[in-house]
Amino acid sequence: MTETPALEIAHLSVGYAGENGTIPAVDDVSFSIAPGEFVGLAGESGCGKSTIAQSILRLLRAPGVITGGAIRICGNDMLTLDDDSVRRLRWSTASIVLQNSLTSLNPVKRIAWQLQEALDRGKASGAARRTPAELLEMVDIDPSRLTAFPHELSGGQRQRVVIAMALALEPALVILDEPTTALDVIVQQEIFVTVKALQKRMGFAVLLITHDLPLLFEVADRIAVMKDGKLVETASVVQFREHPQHPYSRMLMGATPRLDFDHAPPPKPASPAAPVLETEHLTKTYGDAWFQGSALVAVDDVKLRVAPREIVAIVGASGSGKSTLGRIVTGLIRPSSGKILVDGQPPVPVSQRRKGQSRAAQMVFQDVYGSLNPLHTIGHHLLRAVLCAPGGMGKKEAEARVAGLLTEVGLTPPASFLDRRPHELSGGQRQRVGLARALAASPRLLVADEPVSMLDVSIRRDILSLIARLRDEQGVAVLYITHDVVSAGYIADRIVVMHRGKIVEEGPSLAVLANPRHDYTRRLIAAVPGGIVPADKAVLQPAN
Amino acid sequence: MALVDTFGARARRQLLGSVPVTVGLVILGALIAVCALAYWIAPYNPTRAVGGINEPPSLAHLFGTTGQGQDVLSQFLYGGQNTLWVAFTIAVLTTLIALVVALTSAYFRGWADDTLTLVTNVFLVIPGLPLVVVLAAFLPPGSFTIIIVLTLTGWAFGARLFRSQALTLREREFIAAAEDVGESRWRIVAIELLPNMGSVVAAYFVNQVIFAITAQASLEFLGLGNGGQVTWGTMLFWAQNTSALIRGAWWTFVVPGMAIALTAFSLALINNAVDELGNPRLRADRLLRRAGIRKSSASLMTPVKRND
Repeated sequence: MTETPALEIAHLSVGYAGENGTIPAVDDVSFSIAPGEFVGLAGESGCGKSTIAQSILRLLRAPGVITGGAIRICGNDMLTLDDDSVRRLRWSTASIVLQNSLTSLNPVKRIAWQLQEALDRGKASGAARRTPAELLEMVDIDPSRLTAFPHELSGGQRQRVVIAMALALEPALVILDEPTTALDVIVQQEIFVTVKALQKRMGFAVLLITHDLPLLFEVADRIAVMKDGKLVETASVVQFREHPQHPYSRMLMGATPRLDFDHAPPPKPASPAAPVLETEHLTKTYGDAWFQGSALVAVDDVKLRVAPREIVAIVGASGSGKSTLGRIVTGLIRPSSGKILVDGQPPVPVSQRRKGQSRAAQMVFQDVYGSLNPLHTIGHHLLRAVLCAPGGMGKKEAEARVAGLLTEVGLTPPASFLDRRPHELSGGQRQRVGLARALAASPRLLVADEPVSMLDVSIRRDILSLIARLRDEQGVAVLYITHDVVSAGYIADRIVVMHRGKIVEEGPSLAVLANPRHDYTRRLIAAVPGGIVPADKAVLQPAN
Repeated sequence: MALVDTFGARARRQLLGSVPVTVGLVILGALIAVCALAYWIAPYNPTRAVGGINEPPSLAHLFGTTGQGQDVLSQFLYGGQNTLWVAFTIAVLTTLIALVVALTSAYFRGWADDTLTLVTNVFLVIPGLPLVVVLAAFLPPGSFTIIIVLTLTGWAFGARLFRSQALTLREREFIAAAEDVGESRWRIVAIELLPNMGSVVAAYFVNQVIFAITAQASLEFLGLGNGGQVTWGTMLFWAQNTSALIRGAWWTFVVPGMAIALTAFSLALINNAVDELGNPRLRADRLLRRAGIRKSSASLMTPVKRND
């Protein structure tokens, strides 16, 4: 007897209604998930993987339209059932966990109320009743937190609450749509340990949507890879790791940076030249200890030195103060106390900047969608940066400089990019524009705040290589701020680990990664999916 | 300017694509056109008694005559001129004041924000109509008084609206990026921040025109305008004063009333599309309708449409 699959998708096509007809986003995709199976759906941004995830429960927002095919959850045809029946199936037979837990939870209701609401949906079916407290315990949160509001919980705890809600009615299928992308690796690892344990106990099937292949290798039974709306390969994890069939899968596999510990370069002797960045006892506190009892110390007594032509990675979890440090260095934030010298000068605060002043440090931003003004052309962005830079260039000269900058960051021919607007560029191209803008003032130091975290895996390495190349050709030093120890090891000369505003460890990159001394660094490295050396054996697969 | 091009292209497509907007633009355009041409097409002098008292519509007087024997059609045409320019002036002024206050407050924050927010709040809690009546009673009656009074009382809500919008935009990284390359502050506000508020500003402006027309008509109806000047509001005032309702001279108040209602109606239709520019939800609904799907996005159930 063949079991009814938990999820069966046959020839599914989904599109978005546009000005000129429907634009297809998912094209003729078929796959199925057996009860209790853990399937990963991988692909890069825009490949249609999230569109599928949301179509399954018919949650895809307008103007999304399902244009063909069939979706069956435990035999229930989601596309022909009436709205009320589909609503009954949500939560009880299949549920979904979305990426942003802050928006999935109601900010003005307590956790207990929200869990109870999910439980109440199952009243009619007469399923085994649970209590909100049991649900919290299930996902390893102390039941005393029941009276908490969502904002009082950490990002990881919130996501656990959402998972508890998703499992409240013991559905046969749980869809996890990038559930940990916004979280730190350590938290991500803990959450998946919980999910795997629960899955073993409750036997639900999981569809995990992610761009992170190493993560799938650790948690999934089977992997499906999507590209441009089509499913290009489905295989078991073992098979996939050994022999990815499709060239695109092989490309994805190869895109993950690998660290080569065997050929570690000899540590450079300390440079005798004056450092481009020097801080001592640098501290930044938010809030006022005097009035509010306790102030938040974002950066705590930091001593840091960056030599010319050096790439220093600042590694830490979110909230470790690494971004604040970066913004202090460029002058976007003023420190509360302590000494900071960039190229021998304290950074000029934003309000005192004048056209043509020399700028020793420039920033490369994380959000490739938000850091370029959607209304202005690429030419405008760069021209303004060049005109504000020291040198007092004429219009002709400035235009030549803009073309030069575009060429330097690999956007050729420059003329074809000048009149384009940010939305006409891919994420990688946008980040190249961001780099060109930062280089316009010929800074001595680039502060790159998570420059690749929002980009697809396949282009991350290109951008990192570009940063390394700019260091070699232009002689800029780079402060590379990241949560990703692998990319830090890949590009940086030195790694500085920050934890709760303090520097807990620093040293030559590969030395730190190979022999971490501080406990926090060890945890950070252990949590990297697949381990920092790709050949590492999976740690998350439950031992049977 | 390139900026106007893209914004304009999208705006053109959305504004001209829908029936309500086209209707709104046609009505408004027609009203403005006939009022602008009043000098050439008005049959009589609007202030002179050119016919009998309260004559019903006839060939000689298409919209009839008033209680003082003036031609209602001529009054409607000349009155529209006065009413519309005053309304648009008020809308422009209130929008500008609201923008300046909001952008200063949102970009510079600190004490500038505190002070401006306080002032805005004070203007918000001042009861509008009584203040308007008091001010209008003290100042010499006329168009300028009405402009000053309605501008003073009308800008505060817009300042609140724009400030919140500007505050979220200010947190976007492109503003930090512009600061980082060393752009001057006024350039950041004018070139980076302001253009991104286009749709909100446009929607607010259209609403302000509606507000100004109705508020102006109410003031004049209450006798706080210049009774000697012909506007749609004073037409209503005189209709009331000559007991048009009791005498059954409906044409004397229906014509200016309809003119005000039609203007507001056409602006509301236009506002519909301006709203859509800034609200992706509304836009998605329209796209779905175009694809032949009736269900609104509010049903939160992805529609299924098979091509076969």
